[in-house]
Amino acid sequence: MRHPAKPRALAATLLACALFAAFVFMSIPLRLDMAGFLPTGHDDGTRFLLREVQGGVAGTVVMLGIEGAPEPELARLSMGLQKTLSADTRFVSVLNGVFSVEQAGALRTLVFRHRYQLAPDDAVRNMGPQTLKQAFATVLDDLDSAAGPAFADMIVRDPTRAFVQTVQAFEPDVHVRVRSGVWFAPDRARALLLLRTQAPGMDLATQAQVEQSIRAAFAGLHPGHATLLMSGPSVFAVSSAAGMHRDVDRMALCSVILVVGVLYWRFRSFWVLAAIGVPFLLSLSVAMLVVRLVFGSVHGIAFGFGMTMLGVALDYPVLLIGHRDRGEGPQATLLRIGQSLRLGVATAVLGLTGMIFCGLPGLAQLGTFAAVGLVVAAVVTLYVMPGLVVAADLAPYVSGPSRPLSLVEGLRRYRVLYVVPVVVYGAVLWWHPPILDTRLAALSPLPEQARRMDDILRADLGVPDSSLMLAVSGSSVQAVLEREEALTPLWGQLQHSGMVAGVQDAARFLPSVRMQQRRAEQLPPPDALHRAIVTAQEGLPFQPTAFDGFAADVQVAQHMLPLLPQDLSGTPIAAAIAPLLFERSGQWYGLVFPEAVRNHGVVEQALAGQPDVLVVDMRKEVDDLSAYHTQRTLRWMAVGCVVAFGVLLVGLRSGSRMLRVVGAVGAVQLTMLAILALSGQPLTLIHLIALQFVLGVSLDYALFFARPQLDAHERARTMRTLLTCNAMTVLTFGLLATCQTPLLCVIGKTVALGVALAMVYGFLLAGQRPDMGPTKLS
Amino acid sequence: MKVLPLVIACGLLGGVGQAWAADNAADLSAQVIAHLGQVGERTQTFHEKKDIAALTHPLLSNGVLVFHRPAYLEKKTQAPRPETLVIDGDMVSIQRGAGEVHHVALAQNAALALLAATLRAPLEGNLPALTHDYAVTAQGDLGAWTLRMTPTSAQAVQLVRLVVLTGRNNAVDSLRIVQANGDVQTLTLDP
Repeated sequence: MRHPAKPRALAATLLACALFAAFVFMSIPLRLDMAGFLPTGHDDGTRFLLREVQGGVAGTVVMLGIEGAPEPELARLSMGLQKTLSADTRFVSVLNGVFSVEQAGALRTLVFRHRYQLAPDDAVRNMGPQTLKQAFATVLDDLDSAAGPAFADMIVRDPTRAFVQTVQAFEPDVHVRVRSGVWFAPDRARALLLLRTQAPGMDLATQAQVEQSIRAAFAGLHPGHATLLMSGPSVFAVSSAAGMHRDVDRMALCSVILVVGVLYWRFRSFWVLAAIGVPFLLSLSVAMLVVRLVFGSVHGIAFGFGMTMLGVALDYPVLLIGHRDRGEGPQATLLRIGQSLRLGVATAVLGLTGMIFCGLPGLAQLGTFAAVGLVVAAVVTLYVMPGLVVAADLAPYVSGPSRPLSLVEGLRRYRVLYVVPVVVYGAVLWWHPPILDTRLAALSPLPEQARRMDDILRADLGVPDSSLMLAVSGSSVQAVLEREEALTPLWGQLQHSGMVAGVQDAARFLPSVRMQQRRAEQLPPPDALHRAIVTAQEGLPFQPTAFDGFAADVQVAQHMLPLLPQDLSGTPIAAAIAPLLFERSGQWYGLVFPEAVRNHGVVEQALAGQPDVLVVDMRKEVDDLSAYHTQRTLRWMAVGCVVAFGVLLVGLRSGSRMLRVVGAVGAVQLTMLAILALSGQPLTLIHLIALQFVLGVSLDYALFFARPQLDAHERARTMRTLLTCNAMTVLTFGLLATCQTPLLCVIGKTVALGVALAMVYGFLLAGQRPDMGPTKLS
Repeated sequence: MKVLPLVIACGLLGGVGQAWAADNAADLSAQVIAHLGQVGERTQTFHEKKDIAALTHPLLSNGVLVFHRPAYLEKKTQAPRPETLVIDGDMVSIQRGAGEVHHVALAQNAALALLAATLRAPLEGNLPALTHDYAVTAQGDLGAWTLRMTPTSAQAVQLVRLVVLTGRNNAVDSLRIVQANGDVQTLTLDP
């Protein structure tokens, strides 16, 4: 075992760095929400709507599905959940087709009283003798039914069925079936529930509790084989935050173990580990500080990625120690590798331009974190490490040529064969050019399966997916309701031509005062109604006074005060209206969601020119933004690459070395693109930034391979050191590929594969073995 | 068939109420119910008369009543217009004429739940189900008895004024339901 000469300076420095890092980590908390990864909108209107949709009441919707058991059992579970959860104050509403008891009685009375103002179809207010005659015949038939006597009073008082129609109109345009008394999916045995939580969707702590109590309530019903499905913005937020948390924790732990393992295997010295710990701790904590200062917070994803970047950032100290010969002075090693190291850092950082400048705050954080980490690691390696390393006399455990190395070197004789895969991949790319996917879905931090489940539940439950939405504004509630009603004929036309399936808005639940008055005016005056009733009753076995209650209700309805939003407070109707009608800084807004829009263009055109109506096609909006960010990323990638090659040209000052480096790096990119094209995956923004990063790292390797070597020993040192660096990078990014967060997973896969290729191509193409005759084996 | 939307609409806004059991049934009523419950299966012809205040004359109908354990009751009206009402477990299904079969959960509709309990619980010998909504008193003896059921639960009081059941030994002769509004529904069963 070696005994370092003066490890004290090293130990003290490490301790200071550790204290600094601990201070930084404790004072900067990590953010785990997804907001930073979503675009924010291009103008005030879209920003407002996106905020409403992502953070507003729509974010509090939780959709549940229960499946995996026979229908009656699913119905029992649905009712049990409804009962338990409606008693929980954390839920604003729990709907499964059955309204809860406390709300029902009062609401029924209210709706029955106001039925003639609320029922949307004018037919129920048509009380001519002919219509009534038909209505009365139906009343008789209803009374004759088995259930008739129990409902006799109601049947006779509402012969035109205004109440039934009102209640039916209140029901959401769900595409559910009612089976065994509760909502079921239209096409399978799956009971459905629709919940709204009190807490905002982005209140992750409360939402996690809410989720837990839903699961507990379900488990309390002894569901047997039945399973519970949950979806909704808050569920996504909670699960992706939990996934991110796990990812970050695991990355932090496993990256360190992997890197330490590789380094120990390579150097067999804890003092080397300690020396490398200095740039590690400093780069991580400085990167965190910088990101915190620039962005105001540090995101969990950025930190997780930052840990992975260790695999790259630690290349520099490893290169320094790996190239040192025992007994060398501080500057001797740097004289040999300093130039390549500086160039390597520059190109690796330039490989991050696309990420830093893509315009999405989340990705920009990742890029900044990584770039700062690289620069700090390099600076520490160049200016702090030499002193420490020499003082502790650190050097590789084995160095110099060996049999396995010379065998591998022998392979370079056939390096011209590399042309074969490159040509093959070139051909693949020619026939199968990669598809660029600029949709936001590609950027979404949610797994594909979860999104599909969400789409299905939304469609079944009629929850708007906010792909196309309108905001109607006005100075008061009534102004907004009237604007919404003014659009009704237009929706009718669009519905008729099959462009939309229906519309959700507040006016459907609560007509404006003016509309209610207009409806009341349609009702006949008392004597006309009396005459019509008398005529209609002829030939039917009704008592002369049978419809007195009906006539009285109609008369009262003509002078009744219209129903106002406050009259409905505490009822399920109020819960349904809340997300659709709200006030923001003195102005009232109504959200209108067309359902199952077939042609966005036609609908938008039909709405063009409507006053006080803002139409937003969310998906298009968001895809436009995403396309914009992709363009921006491509532009900055181009800038980064051009500058990187400029740096190379200046740094290398040799046409043939330049050619070798560019050849190796180009081959890596070509192979990566072909592999992605073959795997059928479209290229997303994430792939692009990952590829650019691979480019930076491959340049780094190629530069070291292409260094003019002094002797076989130096060549062997380069080989071993680069292998160590490569192993660290491939392992840490391979680890990233196992993350649950799709963003991290894609970056991990792409970079791990790309960097492995960079090593092979760099060795084959950019390598320069010194011409010193046959290698002497040690 | 248009009463069903109303039934379902009421169900949407309806629910089950809290009730309290008032077990003041005399010995005889318990005996009668126990006797009734000993019959596992029945099929009987019924004649129904509905006296509805709004109508000038009663509505008459007839059909077959089928009961079997556990918890299945079918009231099949044959004339003047076919209708099938099935109360099975916690579900009610109604089919009027050749129309669609509508299913309603008892938990979802208080009026139907009460109707189901009133018709089915005596035949099941299920005294607790009856005393959940009614106070039951008996007159006569096992050979010829009359059960008077007066509503006690808040929900039942709103819907029904009185239910009278007459019979002999383990057979039911008639069932008379006086609705809260005074309408009367009488079911006479052939032996």
